[in-house]
Amino acid sequence: MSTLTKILIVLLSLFSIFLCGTVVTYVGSAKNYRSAYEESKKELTALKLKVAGYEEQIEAKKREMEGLVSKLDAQVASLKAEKSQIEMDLKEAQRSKAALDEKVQSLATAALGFEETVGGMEESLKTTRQELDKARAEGIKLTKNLNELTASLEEKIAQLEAVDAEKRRLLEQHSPAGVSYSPVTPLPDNSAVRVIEAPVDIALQGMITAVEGSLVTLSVGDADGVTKGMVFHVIRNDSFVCDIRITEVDTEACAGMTQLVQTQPRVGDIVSTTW
Amino acid sequence: MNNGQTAGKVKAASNVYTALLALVCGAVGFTAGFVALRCMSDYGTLFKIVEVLR
Repeated sequence: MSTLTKILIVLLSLFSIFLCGTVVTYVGSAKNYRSAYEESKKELTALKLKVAGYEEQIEAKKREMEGLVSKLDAQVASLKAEKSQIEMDLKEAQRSKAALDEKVQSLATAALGFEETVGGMEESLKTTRQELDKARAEGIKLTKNLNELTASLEEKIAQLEAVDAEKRRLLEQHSPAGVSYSPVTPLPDNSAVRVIEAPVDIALQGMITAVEGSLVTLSVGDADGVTKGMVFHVIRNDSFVCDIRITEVDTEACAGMTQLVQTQPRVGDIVSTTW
Repeated sequence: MNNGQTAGKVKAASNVYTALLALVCGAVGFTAGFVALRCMSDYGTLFKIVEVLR
């Protein structure tokens, strides 16, 4: 065997061992493309299925969203209509509020005027009552004077009658027969005497319809025979309340002032001219 | 016939180099077998790998 053959054998051995080692290493560590391809194919199929499912879900969501959108559009339209209606109602309410405010203001003004009027009427009523009290006091004083005058007049008349009797007796004793007697105070002619008729005491019965202080209105009037100056007695539960002297008479009603007030008369109390 | 060859009988010139060649042949055979086994196990064929994958 030549030296060159030996060298070639050694080189071939080394190269072959190196090449075999490389091949074994490469093949041992090579990737299995088939299984990777199949896995990738499976993953692709699964992903396609998943994509199809997602697309179906998207379609369903789209349909649901369209339904919701149409429903919400309808709701928005109805709410807009309701809003416009409410705005119109609000404007109407504001207009009515303004009108009511004006009415309230006018009523307040009228109430103020009415209060002023009532105040004036109360003032005039107070003044009238004071004048009435003064007139009553004056009437009482005049009545007292009249009674005194009447008493003194009766006394004078009695004295005159006594003087007349004495004169008649003296004339009868000292004068001859046929002398006529003439009284000291000639009597007035009977035809000239006016007989003042007292109010006829007729039985009238009525009811109190209004009470304003001492002024009382009754339910009977001129048509029932009521005249000025009549006195009605107010009785409640068999007890005396007061008297009413009539001062104004109308056809169907009359009014008078209270007297001898025991308790304040009320509307509905029975009045009568007799006990 | 010279250097180890006699009439009617072949004789290796050196046993060392013969053993080396045998070792190399064994390594190449092992490599080929290993590659063939991997191809069979992974792709099921030895020569139609591309067709199988396609």
